Amino acid sequence: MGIALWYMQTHVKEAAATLLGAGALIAVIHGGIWFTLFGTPDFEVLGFPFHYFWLVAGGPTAMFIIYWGYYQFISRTIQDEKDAMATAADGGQPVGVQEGGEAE
Amino acid sequence: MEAPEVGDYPFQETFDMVLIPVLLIGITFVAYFGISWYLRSKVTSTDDYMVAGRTIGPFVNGSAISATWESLATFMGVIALMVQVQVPFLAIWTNFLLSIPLIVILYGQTLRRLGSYTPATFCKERYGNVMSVVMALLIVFVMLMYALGQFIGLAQIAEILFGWDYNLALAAIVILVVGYVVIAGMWGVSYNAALQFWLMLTAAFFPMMIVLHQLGSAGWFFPPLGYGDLTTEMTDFDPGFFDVNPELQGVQIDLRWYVAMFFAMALGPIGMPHLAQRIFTSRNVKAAQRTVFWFIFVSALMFATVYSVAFAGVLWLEQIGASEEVALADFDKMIFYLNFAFNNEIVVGYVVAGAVAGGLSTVSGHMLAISAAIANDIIEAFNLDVTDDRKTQFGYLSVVAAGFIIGVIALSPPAFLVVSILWAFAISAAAITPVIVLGVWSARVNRYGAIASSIVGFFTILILSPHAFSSIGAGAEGLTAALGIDAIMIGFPLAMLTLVIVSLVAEQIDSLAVDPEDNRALINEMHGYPDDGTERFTSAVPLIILALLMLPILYWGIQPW
Repeated sequence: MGIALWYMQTHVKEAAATLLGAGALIAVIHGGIWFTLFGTPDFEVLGFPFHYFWLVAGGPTAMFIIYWGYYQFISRTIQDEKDAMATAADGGQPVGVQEGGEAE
Repeated sequence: MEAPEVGDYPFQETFDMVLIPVLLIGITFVAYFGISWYLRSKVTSTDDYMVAGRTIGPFVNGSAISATWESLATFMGVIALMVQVQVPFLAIWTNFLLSIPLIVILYGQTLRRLGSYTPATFCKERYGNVMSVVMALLIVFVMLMYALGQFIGLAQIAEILFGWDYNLALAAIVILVVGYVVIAGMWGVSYNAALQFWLMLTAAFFPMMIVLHQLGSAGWFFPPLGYGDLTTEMTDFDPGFFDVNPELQGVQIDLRWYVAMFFAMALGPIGMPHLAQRIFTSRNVKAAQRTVFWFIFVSALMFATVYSVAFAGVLWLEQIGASEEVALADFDKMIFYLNFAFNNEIVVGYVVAGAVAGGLSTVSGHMLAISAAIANDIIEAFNLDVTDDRKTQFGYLSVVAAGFIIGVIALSPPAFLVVSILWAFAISAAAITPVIVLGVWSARVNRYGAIASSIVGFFTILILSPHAFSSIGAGAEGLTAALGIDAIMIGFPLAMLTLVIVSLVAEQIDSLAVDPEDNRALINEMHGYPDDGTERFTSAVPLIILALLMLPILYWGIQPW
């Protein structure tokens, strides 16, 4: 998987990361729903049944962590590759700096 | 059960001294108008009016989006629904939390890079003028339905708490909201919404600490998670509260229900322009991306706090022996009842100010979205020669007009009003979200597919939902049908299939002159790539896979509920 990602074109990596990121975010929230549908783990967290706790606090915390991973990948790895492409294309400044009139 | 009149319950329901909440709400309004007036000098162009000059940082934006997103329902609707619908409601509500991260990931950051004002602005550039007008009209329709509920809720607060006549309360609310939206546009509204969020959170959080402490909850110092020891009382009150597979108004809540609910309640808000516009106000793409961190943190804190009110309310009613007397619908006012019981009227006044802040932040977002759709997108679509100043004036005028129209409709609200907000999500999921998201991620979708998809999505939901044609339905009944949850299982896959099939077929018709190459520069620009001649996002394979995935969903959707 990692090697495949390495050889992907940047825009394919960006699309794949977006798809994975969105899917993971949806999955962690719906994890709480799956627990209600297919059986709830039989333990409590802070006094709450697990699936309730997951929907209230576990899911949002997991969302925060997943989004952090996505953000790091998009704003560093992908952005670096885009900047390198922009530099190679015309020797000018990176595209991200040109738009919106402000540096990112 | 007949709804009890005020005064029927064995506890305080309204203020003894109305002057207290009036003063506190008055102070907050002075603050809102003060902020708006201060920031008014910054509004010198359409960019300033529509997107606050694109200057808003992640913390302010995260708070402002959270306030806009949460609305009055957080104080007045969530608590009763927690008690009535129970854990499935929690699943519905938590789905909403997905909307902002998904907006940013799927199109917010790209459209911010492009410099769009609204989703319709993007549609003009991506699909042309006709689609821009279609999208602007959809935005106005969805926002009017959404705003209507908020205006009525705000008017009802004034009616219940101050004893005003409903029409007078409604007129006062319309004037106040329109006044402060007009004064500073998105700039003032953004900073005000951030302030309104913190007002909402503090109005819910700190009073609940006192309530939980007096109720004997061990975790009173942190209401969002400190009420775990009250779960026994909740189970005593309703033994099935935490059960799996409950029924909702006669409909078994099964896997299909949850999938449909995901389409409506997570994918619907993605298309909501008042939320997307907030992302477009970010000072740059990175700030837009960072907004999500603040949004998740503060929104989760707010929601978890409000859930505690439902548990505390149930325990308190058990303790005073009034649990059988209170109508379920009156759990909407539980946050006020609890504070009347355990805090003084100044604190309750502050809680009311928090509720008003919730409604105000949302409805101002709606007004600006309507304003942008009319004053910018429709004018641009018809290529009218209008100066920037005149466009801003049109913006002010459209806010006043929208306020007037909503006010008139709200005088005799339609019967389906309570669910119209969530029904609007279903329309958004089918008619708005697909054309925007796929327009960003595929160069192969085009204007023909987009126009057909939006029209098919809109009319499918409209026809299959019980609000317009009650004799035609998608199979479910009760709340499931009213929210458009059954209709979305047909409307969403149909809209996606239409978008993909019509787009790919249009490419094959020479007379339509569709060439994905025409989108190359735009697609490269919005994703931040140089226009170096490289083809990006041009494969039809992902679209075909997506269309194939829609087929079993459509088949699933047309099965009997």
